[in-house]
Amino acid sequence: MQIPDTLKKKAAEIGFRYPEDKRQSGLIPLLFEVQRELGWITPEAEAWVAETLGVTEVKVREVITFYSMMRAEPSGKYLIQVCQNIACCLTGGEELQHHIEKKLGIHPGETTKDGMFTLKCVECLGGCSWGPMMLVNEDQYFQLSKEKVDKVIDGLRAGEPLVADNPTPLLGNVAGETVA
Amino acid sequence: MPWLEIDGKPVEVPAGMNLIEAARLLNVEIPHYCYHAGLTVVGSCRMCQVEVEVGGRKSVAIGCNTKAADGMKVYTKTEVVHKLRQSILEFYLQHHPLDCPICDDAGECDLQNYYMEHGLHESRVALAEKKHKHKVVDVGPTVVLDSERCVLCSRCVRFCREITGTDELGIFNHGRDAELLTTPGKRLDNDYSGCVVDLCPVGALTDKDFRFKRRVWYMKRTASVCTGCSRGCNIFMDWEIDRRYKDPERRIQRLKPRYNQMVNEWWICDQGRYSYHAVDAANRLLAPVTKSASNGHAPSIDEVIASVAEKLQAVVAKSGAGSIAVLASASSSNEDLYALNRLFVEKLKVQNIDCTFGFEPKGKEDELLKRADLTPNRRGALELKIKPWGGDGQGGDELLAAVVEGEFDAVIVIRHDLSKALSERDLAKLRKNTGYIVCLAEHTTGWSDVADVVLPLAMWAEREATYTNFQGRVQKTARPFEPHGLARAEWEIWSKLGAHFGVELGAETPQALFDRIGAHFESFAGLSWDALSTGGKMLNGTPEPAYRRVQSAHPLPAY
Ligand code: SF4
Ligand code: SF4
Ligand code: FES
Ligand code: FES
Repeated sequence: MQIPDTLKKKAAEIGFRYPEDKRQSGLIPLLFEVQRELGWITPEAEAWVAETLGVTEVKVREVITFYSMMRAEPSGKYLIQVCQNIACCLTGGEELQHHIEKKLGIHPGETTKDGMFTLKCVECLGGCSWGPMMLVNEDQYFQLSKEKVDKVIDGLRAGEPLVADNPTPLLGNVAGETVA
Repeated sequence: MPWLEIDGKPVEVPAGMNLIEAARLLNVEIPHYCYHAGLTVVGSCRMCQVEVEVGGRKSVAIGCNTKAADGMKVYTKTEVVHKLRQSILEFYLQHHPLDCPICDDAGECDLQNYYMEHGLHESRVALAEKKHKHKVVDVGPTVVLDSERCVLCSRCVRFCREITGTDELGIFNHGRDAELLTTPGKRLDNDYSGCVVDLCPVGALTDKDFRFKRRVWYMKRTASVCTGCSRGCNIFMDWEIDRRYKDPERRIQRLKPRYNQMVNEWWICDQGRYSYHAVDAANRLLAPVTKSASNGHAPSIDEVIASVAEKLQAVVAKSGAGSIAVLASASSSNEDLYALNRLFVEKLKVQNIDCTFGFEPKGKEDELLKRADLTPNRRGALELKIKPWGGDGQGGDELLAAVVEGEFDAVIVIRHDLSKALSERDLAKLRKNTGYIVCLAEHTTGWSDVADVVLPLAMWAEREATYTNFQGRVQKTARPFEPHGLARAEWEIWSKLGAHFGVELGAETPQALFDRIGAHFESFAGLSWDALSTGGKMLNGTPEPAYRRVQSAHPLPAY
């Protein structure tokens, strides 16, 4: 597999943000770019990231497997991660997960036949006071109800997703700013 | 240097020393998994917690990452500490498999030992609920991984990152799914891979060579020195000879590194680690071999040596000492070379002697330990004036060429495999040109085409001897058991042979011989067998080399 030029360009931009001797700080941002571009982090991309940033493959692997938002296997177009930690469970996270399982006809770890959705249950997503919550790719949805979940999923299917609750603070833009 | 109090006992420690090391000075063991003096401190296992009182305030701290400070009071045996240790062990054992009866680490496993000492709790996790991970993973040529047993201390990961720089291992996934593995497609394959087994505090990493061979409590341990190259790494020989029904020919069960800050720190290379197989190899030479007909009677060592003496005397009488050549070896011990020197150089006045040969195998050299020179005693040979022939460095090859050309009537070949050094044509030439060839060998290979007489040599594990490493450190090997068959230490052979020539070595033990070397050779002056202790001593007038790697700013106690 060839690494697309767009990614190479992104890598150069990311590299530019950090001093020469701290290139490995670009690891997570670059992995996110790979994921956006390729859908998941392929073994070839993994090796390429290691080489590009001058870190070992073990390090890249450690990072990819540590963070639940990194995808080391092919996954659906949308990765839905439902929080199963205590605060969200107290506000109905568990029922929501069952609801999604039923709706999509898959268990956690599986992908729908049409390749649209992959479901994952994860620990705290960092939005405890607005639980229950889920993350769809990089977008957060808080204070979920079955109806709201339906709206999100149906909207994604129809190509008109419900606007995320808070423009994602995950990737460096401050809460409140809109992503371009 | 800070003064502190550990369990009520005052102790002064070097500045910067952590509490685990400080406690060790008082023989107090603070249990730990992730800390290793040779690796960076990560403080991840939390096993080393102690109570620390500074300025009247007591708190809990990890011993590995807390530096000893003046006036500090450390408590390692309080109720709080006990509870901490018990809880941490309960945490570790939640999902640990109940493998002790079949685990190769049983008997030297820190999880097992600490449980017996500090844990002894009831498990709250039912057996059926235990988390399962990968078992019996073939991670590389020397090591098998059982990731279920791993306590994720990351010592092995740091070793491959910080010491060998090869970085094959990582901890993947997180939480209770976290697992030690190699990156997909990579193998744990470096020149020091066996060291991760030594480092692993549990039975997660085991040595293919040793797995299921012995229970550790059956073995005895002897401190010795590796003779695999000119570094002379300090080792332990773990051996067992009482239960002979279990592979009876295998006496040494494994080698482990022995800490010596000045030589090898905590490590040895794989080549050295597995070199012991040669000691009990099936092709050991067990008895003298002679070409002359023996009428079905197996000659004793003494008989063979008498015949060698007779033959050499005849050669000297006929054409003088100049017609004898000695192809000596830098793998011989100091005592061997001293005896050789007394007999051949001093007594017989043999000039044609050398121990520097281009044909000797070269090893791989690296920054850590491995040396290209695979002979353990080249420096000793030079100090003992086993002078290069012709006096100017690489004389050995010319001597060998002269031997092949038939310039000598008798040739003594010590520990060399001439079939590797010479082409078949040259071997035939040597055979034809030289009237009498005596070989001294450890194994049955390499001499059969040429020698008239072969005498069997004892190997390093079967004899006490001293070797001088390339830096000039004199160290000694130990002998837990007798040599195989009729094999003898080289110096013993020279001593017996010398008796026929009226040479008295003046000493009949390696210890006494070594002390005589001190009396004869300036660079060995002042050294004695006992003073070598287990860490060795530098040759007279040779400065200690710098510490290899300054991990901690202070020399660490041996353990
Ligand atoms: S395999 Fe052993 S040394 Fe490596 S992390 Fe696990 S317990 Fe520690
Ligand atoms: S480096 Fe040399 S002395 Fe050390 S273990 Fe390896 S072979 Fe033996
Ligand atoms: S518990 Fe769900 S976001 Fe923290
Ligand atoms: S030894 Fe201190 S935390 Fe592991």
